Amino acid sequence: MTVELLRKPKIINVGARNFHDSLKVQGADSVHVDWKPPAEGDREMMKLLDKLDKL
Amino acid sequence: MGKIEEANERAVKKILETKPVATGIKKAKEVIPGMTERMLLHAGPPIEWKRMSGPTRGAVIGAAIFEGWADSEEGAVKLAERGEIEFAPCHDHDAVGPMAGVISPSMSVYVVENQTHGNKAYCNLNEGLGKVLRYGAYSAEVIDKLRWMEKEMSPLLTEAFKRSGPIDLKEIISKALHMGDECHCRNVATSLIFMKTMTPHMIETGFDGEIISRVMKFMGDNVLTFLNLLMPACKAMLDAGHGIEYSTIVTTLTRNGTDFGIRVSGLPGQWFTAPAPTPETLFFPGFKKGDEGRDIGDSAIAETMGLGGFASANAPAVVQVVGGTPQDAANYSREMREITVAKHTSFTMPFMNFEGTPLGIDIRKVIETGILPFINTGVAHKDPGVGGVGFGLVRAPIDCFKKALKAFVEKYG
Repeated sequence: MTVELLRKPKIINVGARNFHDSLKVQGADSVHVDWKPPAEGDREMMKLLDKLDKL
Repeated sequence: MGKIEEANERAVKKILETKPVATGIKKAKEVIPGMTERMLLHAGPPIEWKRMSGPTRGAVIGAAIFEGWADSEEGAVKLAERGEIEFAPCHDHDAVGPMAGVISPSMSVYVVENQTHGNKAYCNLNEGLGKVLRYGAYSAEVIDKLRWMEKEMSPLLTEAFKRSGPIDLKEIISKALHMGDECHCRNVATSLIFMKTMTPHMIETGFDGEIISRVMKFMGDNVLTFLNLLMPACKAMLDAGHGIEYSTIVTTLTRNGTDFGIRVSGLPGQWFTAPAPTPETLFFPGFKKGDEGRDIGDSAIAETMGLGGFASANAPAVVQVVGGTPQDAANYSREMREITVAKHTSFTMPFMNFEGTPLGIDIRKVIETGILPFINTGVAHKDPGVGGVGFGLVRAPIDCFKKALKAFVEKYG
């Protein structure tokens, strides 16, 4: 099973797209998920959003 | 359902049910609320003379000469420096203006009425491309054209409107979206439909044939003729959804070449601003990178309404100006779904299986996703007195939305 996985890896790439692009160039079976941390990681904004969620 | 969701649903409902109609043409000072004899309205959020961008300064100089307040550039600048001209945003006076957006008291404006809710919106008449006041030009030919518009075009259209009755602007926009317009930078179909509608009424006025011919040629040659009707139509629709407690919906995106400003439905009377960005520009022949001014104009009211950049899928030719593909155009429309709460029920995109255009920008979604509203725009020269240099693409700055979110939490959180 491990050997099979190494031969034909199936990859879900989350976040930085250039990892996915590099894998595709090498013929890997990769799917890209366009994801960023909420509010681009801005803690102050995340707290404000949380407050509004409670309304 | 939470209070915000309920409020946003109510705001969107009011925006969608609005029927904006053009009812005629009047002098700005006769109809625009709060317009005084020495006032100039401008695009974007509030700004004082010393911070005004080059194109806005140019348009102020031209408008002062047009009004007869000054007879030279120097004279107009002195008036502005001495505080003898009152400045105010178009948006704070139920009006909108493309690019510099300067509306002076004697200018003719289209009157657009929201037949559903009763509010009104106003916009001056479009002058065409190139060396025109709205792009900051103020030479003799610019002023002469403005005077001709008041002398021949405005009286003819005024009489034509009396014969046509109210013109349904939503219907024109809906049709044009299926004819290759995104209804901001591309207003070819809207302008043609409007001209087709008005032509028999212009002829029926009994005006001199040469005047009718000159006006029809001028309006027919101008692919942005309808922009100055589309903008107040959008303003009339969005104002219907403004001022709803707890709503996080953006009801204005606008720029004055110095600052970008937004208004939010649940926060009436407040502007949230950040430095205006510089558009990625395709230049007209004779201009080059470095000539362009920063983002300017009330015309981003189109994007606020789900048109323009939000309806990019309908007009790949606009995205092509900066080397984009039809797929890029569709992707821009798809991306705008992520920051909006609804789809328009009358404005649809054929290439997206007739899906409604993305409507109702939610400040929470902009902050959460980091996706910024995408705008198609005209681009003015950075200096006063030159004019338009091209078309461009630009994103709204995130700091406007951060400031709005903070204010929203302070009020409601």
